[in-house]
Amino acid sequence: MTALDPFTQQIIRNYLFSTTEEMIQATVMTAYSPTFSEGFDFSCALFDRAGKMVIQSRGVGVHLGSLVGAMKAVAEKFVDPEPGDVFITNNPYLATHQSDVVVCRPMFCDGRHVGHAVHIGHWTDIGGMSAGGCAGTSTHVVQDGLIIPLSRLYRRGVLVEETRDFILANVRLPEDDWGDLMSQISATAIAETRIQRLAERYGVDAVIDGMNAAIGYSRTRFLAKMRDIPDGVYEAVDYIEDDGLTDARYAIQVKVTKGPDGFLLDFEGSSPQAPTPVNATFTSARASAYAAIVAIVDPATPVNAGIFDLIEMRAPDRSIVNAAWPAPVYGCTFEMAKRVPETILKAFSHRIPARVAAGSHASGNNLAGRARDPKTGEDVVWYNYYEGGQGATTVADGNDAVYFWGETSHNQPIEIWEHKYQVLVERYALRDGSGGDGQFRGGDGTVHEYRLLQDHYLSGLGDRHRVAPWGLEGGEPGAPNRWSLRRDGVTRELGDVYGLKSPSKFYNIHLLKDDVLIIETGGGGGYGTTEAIV
Amino acid sequence: MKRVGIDIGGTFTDIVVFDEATGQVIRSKTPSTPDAPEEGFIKALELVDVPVSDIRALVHGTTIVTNLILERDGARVALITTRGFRDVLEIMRATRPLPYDLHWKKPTPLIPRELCFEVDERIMADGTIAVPIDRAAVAAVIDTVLAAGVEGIAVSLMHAYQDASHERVVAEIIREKAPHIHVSISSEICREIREYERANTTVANVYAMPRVRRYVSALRERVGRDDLVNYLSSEGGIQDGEAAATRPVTLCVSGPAGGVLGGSFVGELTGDPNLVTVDMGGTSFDVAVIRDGRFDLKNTFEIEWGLPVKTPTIDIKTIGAGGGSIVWIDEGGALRVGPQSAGAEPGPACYGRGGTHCTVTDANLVLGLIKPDGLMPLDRSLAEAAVKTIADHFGVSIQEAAEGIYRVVNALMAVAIRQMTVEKGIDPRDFALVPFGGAGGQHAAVLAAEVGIPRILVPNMPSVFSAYGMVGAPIKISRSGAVMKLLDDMTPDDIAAFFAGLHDEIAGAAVGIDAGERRFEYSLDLKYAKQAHEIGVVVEPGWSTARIVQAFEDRHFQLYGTRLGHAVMVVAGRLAAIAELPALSPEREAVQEGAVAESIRQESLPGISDSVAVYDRTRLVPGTRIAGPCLVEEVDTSFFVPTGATGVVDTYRNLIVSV
Repeated sequence: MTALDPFTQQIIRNYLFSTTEEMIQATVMTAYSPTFSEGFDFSCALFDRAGKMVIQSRGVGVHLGSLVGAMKAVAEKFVDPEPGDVFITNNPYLATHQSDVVVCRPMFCDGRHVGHAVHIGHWTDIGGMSAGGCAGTSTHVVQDGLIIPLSRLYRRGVLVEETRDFILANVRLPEDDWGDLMSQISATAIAETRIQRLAERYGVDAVIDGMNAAIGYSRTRFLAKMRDIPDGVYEAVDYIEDDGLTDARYAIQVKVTKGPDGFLLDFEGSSPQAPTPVNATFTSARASAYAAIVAIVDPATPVNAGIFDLIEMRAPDRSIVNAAWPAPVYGCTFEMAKRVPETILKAFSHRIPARVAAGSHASGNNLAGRARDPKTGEDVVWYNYYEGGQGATTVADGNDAVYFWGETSHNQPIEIWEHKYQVLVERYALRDGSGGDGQFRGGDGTVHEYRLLQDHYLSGLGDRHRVAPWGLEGGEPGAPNRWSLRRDGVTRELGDVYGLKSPSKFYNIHLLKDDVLIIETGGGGGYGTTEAIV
Repeated sequence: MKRVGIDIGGTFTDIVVFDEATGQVIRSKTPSTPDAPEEGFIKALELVDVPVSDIRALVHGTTIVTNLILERDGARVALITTRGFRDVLEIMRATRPLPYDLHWKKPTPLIPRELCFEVDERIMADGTIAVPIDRAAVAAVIDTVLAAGVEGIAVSLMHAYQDASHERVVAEIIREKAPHIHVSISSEICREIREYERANTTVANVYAMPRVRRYVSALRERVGRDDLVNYLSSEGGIQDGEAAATRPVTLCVSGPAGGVLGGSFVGELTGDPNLVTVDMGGTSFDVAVIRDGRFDLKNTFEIEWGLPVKTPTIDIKTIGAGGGSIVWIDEGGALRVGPQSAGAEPGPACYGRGGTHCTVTDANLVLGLIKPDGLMPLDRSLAEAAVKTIADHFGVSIQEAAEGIYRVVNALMAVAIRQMTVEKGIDPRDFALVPFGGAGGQHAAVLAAEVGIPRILVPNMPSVFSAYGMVGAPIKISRSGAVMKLLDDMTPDDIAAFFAGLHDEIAGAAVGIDAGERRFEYSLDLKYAKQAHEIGVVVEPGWSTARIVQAFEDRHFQLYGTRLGHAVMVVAGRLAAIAELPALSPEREAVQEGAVAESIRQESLPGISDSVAVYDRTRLVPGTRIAGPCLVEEVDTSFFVPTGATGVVDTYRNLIVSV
């Protein structure tokens, strides 16, 4: 325990949080890709010396929870970091998919190592077979992109040029990725400066004690809130609907045992790992599970190791929630990151429906494209993921058009998008009627219609095109996601036009200039039967 | 001639009258009349008894726009947008403030979905027209809109920041069909990229227009002179009633802007060009920075979460910590301050109006930092009872709990000040702090020490400070335009031609006040070409593009610590025309060197072994020196001078404290 008085503890906790907010601000303002600066597809956190999370920013839950794995590896590999060191990795088996690059800066005050400033963000291109990622039918992890083993990017303040050059030689957008990486480096540098200032004011020991206290605070608070959840066993199953090559369904089977001192999540019975990137790594599946437990117990407790230590996860080796090399895992950040928490929600939905929401669109609807810019003669590479409908709760309609699960992503303004990507967006609207009916309705998804100004090569990795978002307590399901193409005035599902095995998982299909790509995102499930309306 | 400032706040309407000839200042206050703010306005004018014929300029700050938006009490208005985009207000940015909360609800847009309409037309990102506008089809849509019985229409079309012609056609047809309807088009209100932000700004404008127009008319009628009342904009300039009624969205931060101008005015008197102004009222703490006599502007302001308004706004950082902020123990057992406030009713526990929550003011009263017998009598025993709830939780004494609360709230405020200074590359050691607002004086000296600001200027009239600032406001008209070009592709002549266009627009918007020569401020919004967000950089006419690049990279380095050397893009440019009214010279009093302060009583403060002197501010004549620890009381506030700090009263009766 700590010797700090409660008032100083609170002062330090507030300060740590404002530091992560500043990291966000610096990233948004300086990054090169709209993925970072408009879409907010990145997250920031501070960790202690031992690699335990102290505080996290707003951001993407699966990013943040996955850092737990990456930071364990950092603490093991770099036992005695020095001031000015910066480490980098995107090894998916340590964290989450390769596009999410982790930058970690050990923080020093008066020469003492006090913790780590960590940034994780989605690079628009990370190499691999598909421009912008999202190859729905890759069958080996290396096809999904360059893997950067946990490496040094700076040594005592000096850039390790070989590391940087090696990385940038293997991506399609070296200048953009470098701009984004600089924003990550800058954000962690700002964090270290702020923590140094905190140490000047309160002393280095107080900073370390304050970090411990922040973890202890979350633990205490979460334990207290957990009392509202009845002890017992909760079970559910949900599916990844196909693997892109066959119609095989993959089960996510969860048994949650809730006791007074914590949660045990056991995924025994889940399907073996798939040949394609619908798998999750253990670290990313665990991160997604954390998000669900936080949402059910208390979304207001600051999320850190104090909560993580109360949640244990078990998963069969080489299963869809614990995939091993060389299984591709690209979808773990957006498909499994939504399917795993919603399966956990489903497990609790019958006994404590007021604590959950009905199923949501529950897919990133991730698409990536490449097209030639006729002015420059160079390829533009785009990547986007889409908002949709949120499920209804027992007290209210679900929100229309939000990014959901456990994230604070933003849509990218159409006007910015059109400046960069050789598309004319003909429609960006709510998808009427997509929310499931019920006493409270599920939120509506959205419709994006892109008229292509050049030929585009498109890859996709989605799900929930066949299995609809589930209703809660008799509510109707929401409409599933749907991707179509309008060519010469005829609209057909993308899978039919191209004879794909899956409507939502494919690689590098050739769309033609003047085609209209139509992305319809799912609605949320409803709550309760409509007859219940008085 | 006289200059008058009137600031209508939630509780009081403040007035300050400045006599240009003598430098004499009269101030007064009257309760605000929220249902008909013009009543309080007229009452304030009557209190000071100044004939309108004697007034050169009357500057008014109002919260009318912010309030009607927060309360969703604006007019029934419609949106017309490009085919395919009628849901732009519903979708917003599709984000959420809290990642894990399943029960969070999106804010309600200012216009319901059924009043959002589409027209066939399309301008592309590069400004070319993909679908020309069809006047007959537009006319048919407008007939439908008018049939819905609206008072106003916002028009926000895709890429209209590149080409305003389609929006102008729509506006023209509306005016032909319904001349009485209020119209705002996005290319006039917010000529900037990002369709949601631009649409919401335009919508907020037209949503407020009918009310503000009626208000401007009511004031004209009541004061009996059309050109008398001018309005303070969010960017700290005054505009006439016509401009305010046409662009009401520029009034969102009208009141706080007055406080920043007040700080600027005090800094001129004391010779401090670098200032940090802090306004601590009942519910919030506002920080702004003035460097070399100028404040920074920002270009986005959120009236509430998710509702951005993009107009030039003084860069003010607001946090939810004020005197009325409630101190509470959260579910994890930690001490929290705000953002909930006890407000004016029931107010802090010590007000004795039934409030039982502990507030910052209660802790300050326990600490002896506020006098209990001012304008508002305060009950110390009620404050102690409230603080005791916190003390009992932690097992400490009431005094210790009050000190802890004081430290936590000071730390929150210090972070806000640091974010506005150090974290933007500004060294606070070169700055002076100007505290105002009811609770500012109780925290200012400790805050200054905490963030490393060596000097505090306690203004002579902190309780009507915003109105005081309005008196000295310059006339300011600004316009901006999109550029969206690489700097390498532009010559200095191109840039000059761009600003010449803005000059012409401003020339057509003259203000009817007799003022001096206009001067112009030029700025460009720049970014590395591949970045998404731009930085405003002040430029001078005739600068080479290399000089512009250098200014941008310097600023980028100052803010973010990186210099990338990549191509730079000009996103937009702004021109502000500023005309100062005759300079104001407040009355000076002779400085009596060595004047001795006489304390009115002694007070014992926790943590200080000897009792400390308490002074009455009105009796501190110029030249008086005081040394901390001591308290300086005014009728409605007090200033705490900590141990080691010293103060001196200047010729304008500002109290200058060195910490």
